[in-house]
Amino acid sequence: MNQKIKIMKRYITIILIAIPFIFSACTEEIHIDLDSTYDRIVIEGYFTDEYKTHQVKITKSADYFSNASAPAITGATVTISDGTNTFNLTEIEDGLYETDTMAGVPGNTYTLNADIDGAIYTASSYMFTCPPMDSIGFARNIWDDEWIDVLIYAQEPGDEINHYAWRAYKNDTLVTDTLHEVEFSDDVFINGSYVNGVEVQYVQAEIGDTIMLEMHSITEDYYEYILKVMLETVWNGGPFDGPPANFYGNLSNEALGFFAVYSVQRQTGIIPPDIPDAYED
Amino acid sequence: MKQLLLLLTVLSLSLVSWSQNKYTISGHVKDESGEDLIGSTIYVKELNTGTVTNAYGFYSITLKEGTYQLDYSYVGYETQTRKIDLNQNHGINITLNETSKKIDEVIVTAERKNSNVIKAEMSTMKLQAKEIKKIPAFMGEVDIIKAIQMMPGVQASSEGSSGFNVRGGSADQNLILLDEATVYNASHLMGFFSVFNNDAIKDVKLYKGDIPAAYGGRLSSLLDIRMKDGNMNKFRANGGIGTVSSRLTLESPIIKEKGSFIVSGRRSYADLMLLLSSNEETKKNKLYFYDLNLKGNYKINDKNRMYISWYLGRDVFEYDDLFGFNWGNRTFTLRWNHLFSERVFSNFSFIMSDYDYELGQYSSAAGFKWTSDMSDIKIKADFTYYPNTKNMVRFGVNGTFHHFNPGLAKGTGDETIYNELKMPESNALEWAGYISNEWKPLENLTINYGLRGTIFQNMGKSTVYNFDENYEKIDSTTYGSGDIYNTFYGLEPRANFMYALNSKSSIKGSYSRTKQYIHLASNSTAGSPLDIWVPASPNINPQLADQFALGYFRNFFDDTYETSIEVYYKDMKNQIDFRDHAELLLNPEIEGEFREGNASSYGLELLVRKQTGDFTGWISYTLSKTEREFPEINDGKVYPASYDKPHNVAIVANYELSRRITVAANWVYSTGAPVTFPIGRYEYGNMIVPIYSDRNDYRMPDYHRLDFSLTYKFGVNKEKRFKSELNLSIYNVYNRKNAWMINFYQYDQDPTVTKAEKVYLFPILPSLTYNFYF
Repeated sequence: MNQKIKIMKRYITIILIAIPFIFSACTEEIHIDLDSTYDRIVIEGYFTDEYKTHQVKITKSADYFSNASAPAITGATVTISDGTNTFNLTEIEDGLYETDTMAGVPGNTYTLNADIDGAIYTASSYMFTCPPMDSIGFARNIWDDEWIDVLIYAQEPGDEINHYAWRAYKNDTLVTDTLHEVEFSDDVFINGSYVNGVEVQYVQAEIGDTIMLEMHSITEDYYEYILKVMLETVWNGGPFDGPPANFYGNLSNEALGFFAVYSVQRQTGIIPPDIPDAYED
Repeated sequence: MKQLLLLLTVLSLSLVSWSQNKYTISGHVKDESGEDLIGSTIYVKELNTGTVTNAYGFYSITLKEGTYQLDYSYVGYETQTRKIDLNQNHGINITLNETSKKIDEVIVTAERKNSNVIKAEMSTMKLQAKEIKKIPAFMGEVDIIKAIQMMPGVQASSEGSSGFNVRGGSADQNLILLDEATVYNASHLMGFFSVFNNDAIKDVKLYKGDIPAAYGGRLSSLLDIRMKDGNMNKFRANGGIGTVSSRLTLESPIIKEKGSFIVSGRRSYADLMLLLSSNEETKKNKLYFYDLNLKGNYKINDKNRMYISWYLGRDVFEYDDLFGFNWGNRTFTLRWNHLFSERVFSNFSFIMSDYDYELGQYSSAAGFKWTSDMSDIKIKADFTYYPNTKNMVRFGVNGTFHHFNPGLAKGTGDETIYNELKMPESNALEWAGYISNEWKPLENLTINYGLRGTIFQNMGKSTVYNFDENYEKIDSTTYGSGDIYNTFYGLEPRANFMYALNSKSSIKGSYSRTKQYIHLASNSTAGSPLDIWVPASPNINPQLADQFALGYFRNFFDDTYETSIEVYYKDMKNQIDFRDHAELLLNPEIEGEFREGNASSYGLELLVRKQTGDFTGWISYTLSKTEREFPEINDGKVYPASYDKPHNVAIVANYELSRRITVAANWVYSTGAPVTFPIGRYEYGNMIVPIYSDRNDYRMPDYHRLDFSLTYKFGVNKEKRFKSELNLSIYNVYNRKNAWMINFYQYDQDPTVTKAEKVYLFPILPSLTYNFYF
C-alpha cells in the first residue's frame, strides 16, 4: 500500500470514526478481566549499512495488564552473520545486545541467531540499496499549523517493487523514535516516477530548525510487519475494521518481533521563513 | 431434472380436477386513497377458504356456481362483505376504510383476523409504514430498518447500524428490495439512518426463511419494501421538520381513479449543525444526505396497469474544500401488470439499480480521485395462475446483467505524480426461473412447493488473477468483451406446509435452499460505504444455505393477540470471511483475500403481537447460536459469529391515550456481541503490541435500552383538512452507556501502562419532530 493511499485510508478511518462522534460519543475507562497467556520470546533487532554499533533487544511478552516494562532476557548468545563472517554481540545491559562498530553491505543477506537457554531463534533478511534523495523541502501541514511536512525530491527506481521508511531528526535529535511515528510506504502508486515534493514525514518544528530526513530501504516483510503493528495499535478503527489478529515477524520458533535489515540515505534542510502551505501551486 | 419432472407431474395432477361450471371473482383491494392493499384477505364463508391479494392488491378466486358471502379484510381496516350469486365471472374492486374510533363500537366482528394462523407462510413479519411511525424514532427519524431489527430472529449489527443479521446470516445475506429493485447499501451517515424515507413507503415485509421461490440471490432473508402508489382521489401533502432532517411528500391523481403519482423528498441538515460549532475548522465542513422517491401509476384499462418507481439518495461529506466523499444508491423500476384472464395475473418489470462512491483530495499535484460503482439491469416476468380454490401457481423467469467496477484511484491534474491503481472490472449474468404451487388439499392443510433454478455466469471484459494454494498470485487471464468464462448453476427447492389444528392455531413447517452469487467484501461489524460487492468467480464459490423451520401459531382473545413460536436450523456452506489483516480496499487481487468456510445457526423465536385496539405492539424473544468454522481462520477452530447474541428481547408498545395523545415505548436487550480481546502484550519499536485471544473469545457487555415517545395531534376533527402533530422521542431514556466498542491502549502518561476504555455513542437523546398533513 502506497504512502498516499495509506494517508487517504487514514483520512477515511478518521471520517468513519468521526461521524458518530459528531452526534455524540464518549469514552469511559473500564475494568475488564482478561485471561493470562504463555510467555513468548520477543526480539527487536536492527542491522544497517551505517558504520556504528547495531543493537538487538530480547524481551518476553507479559499479561496485557501487567503494566511494567517488558521482562528482559539475559544471558543469551547472539550472533549476526553475513554468510561468511559471524559477528558476536555483547550484552551491554539487561536484554540489550550490541555488535562492535561496523557497517553492513547492501546486497548481502544477514542472519540473526539467538540461543536462549538452548532454544534457537533465527531470522534472515536481505539488505536493499537505498536510492539517493536529491533534496528535501518543507510545507505547512494542512491539518495542523504547528506541524511541518517534510517533502522529498528523488527519482524512484522503476525496476522493482521497493519499500521505504522515513525517520526525522530535529536539530540532531531523533523525533520519530516510536514506530508509529515512522512513515513507511511501498512504491505501487509512484513506481519509476520522479517524486517531486511528496510529504513523507511530519515534524512539530519552527522556522530555522534543522531537519534531517532519513530514508530506509526496508524489505517487503518488514513493511508488512510495521503495517500490522500499526493496524493492531494506533490505526485500529474499531467496528469499522476487521477482527484483530495475531501476527509474526521473520523470526523462527514462534518468537515475536522482527530482525530488520536496511540501508540508509540522509538529506538535511533548514526550515525557511516562507514555508508554503501544502499543495499550493 | 427428475425432481423437476416429478414436480410438474404433481402440479398437473392437482390442476385437472375441475369439471363443473366454475367462475372467477377477481379484482383489486384498495384503501380510501386508492393505495393497493398488499396481503388483504378474501374469505369465502361457505367454503371456509380464501385467498390474499398480491403485491399489486390483486386477487382472483375461482369457485363453483353458487351463492357465496365474501369477507374482505385487512388489519386496521373495516371488513367489507359482499354476497354474490356466482353464475358468471365477476370483477369486484373493493375499497376498505380505515378503522376509526367512532365506528369502533358498531363493528361487527366478522373479521378474518386469524390470517397469521392460516396463511401458508411462516418466518415472516409485515409492518405497515404507519405502524413503523408509531415506534419511538432515533433522533426523530422514522426508520424501517430500526423497526425490522426489533423482530424475533433479527439482530442489529451494531448500535445505530442499518445492518442487520437474520437467523445467523451475515449482513450481506439480506436481499433488500425497494419496489423490486435491489438496494445495495441501505445506510445513510455510516448506518445511523437507513435510506428508506418512511413517508414514501407503504409497507415492508421481512422473510427470515421460507423465502418464496420467486425470490433468490441472497442466503438469509428478503426484505420486501413497497413504495406508496400515490393518492388516486385527491391532492395530498405531508411533511415534517425534525432534528435531523426535513421531509415533504406530495401525492395526487393524474387522472382521477386512473392514475396517480407520489413524490417524496428528505434532506438532512447535519451541516447546519456543524455551522453552529464554535470551531472555525468544523464550520468549513459539509455533511448531509438526501433522498428522493418518485412513483407514478396509470391504469390503462381493467387488464393493464403501469407503474414507474424511482429512487435517488446520496450522502455528501466535504472537509474544507480539501477532501470530499460522497456515495449513494439509485433504483428505477418500470412495471406492467397485465391480466391475461381473470385467472392469470402477470407482471413484467424492467429494473435498474446502482451504487457508487467517490472520494478525493482536491488539490493540484497531490490530488487524487477514487471511484467505485456497481450496477444492475434486470428484466423479469412473473405470472400467477389461479386455477381453482385449491391451487395457486406462480412461475416466472428473470435475467440480470451485473457490472462491477470495484475501484479506480488516479491522480488528478496534469502534473500528477501518481500512477493509476485499478481493480479489474467485470460483468456477470444471473438467470433464474421458478415455479411453485400453493396447494390446499384439505380445508385445514396448505402445502406450498416450488423450485427455483439459477445460473450465474461471469462475463468479460475482465482480468482474473490466478492464485496458488497459498493465495499468492501466479498470473492473470484476460477475457474479451462478452466472453463467458465461468458458469455456476443450482437448484433451490422451497417448500412449506400449514396444518390448522382449529381456527385459532396451526402448525407450520418449511424448508428452503438458497444460493448467493455476489458477496460483500466487508470484514467489519459496522459496515462502511466503501464496502464493495464481489461476484462469485473461478476463485470464489457461491454461498449456499439450507434452512429448516417449524412453528406453532396460536391466537388468543378473539384473535386480538397473535402468538407464534418457531424453531429453525440453518446450515451454511461456502461462507465468506477474510484472511487476517485483509486488504479489501483498492486491492486488485482482492479475491486472494477471501477465505471460505462453513457456518451453522439454530434458534428459537417467540412472538406475541397485538395489532388492533388502543394498545398495540409486540414482544419478541430469540434464543440462538451461530458458529463459523474456517480452516484458515482462528487455526481452524470453531468460533462464534460476531453477531452471535444468544438472548435477544424486544418489547414494542404503543398506546393511544386519547384521540390527541399517543404514547409509545420500546425496550431492547441483547447479549453482548462476541469480540476478540488482548490477553498478552509485548514491546516493539517503543510501542506495546497486543497478543490476542482466540477469535471472538470474549463478549461485550450486554446491551439494553429504553426509548419513549409522545405524539400530540392537532386538528383531530374530521372536518379540518390541515392536521398536524408534534412528536417528542427520547432515545436511551435511562441513559445506559452501552459499549459500542472497547479500546485497549497505551497510556500517554506512563508508556508501560495499558488501559481499556469503552466508547459509547448515544446518551439520553431527546428529539422533536413536527409533522403536517393536508
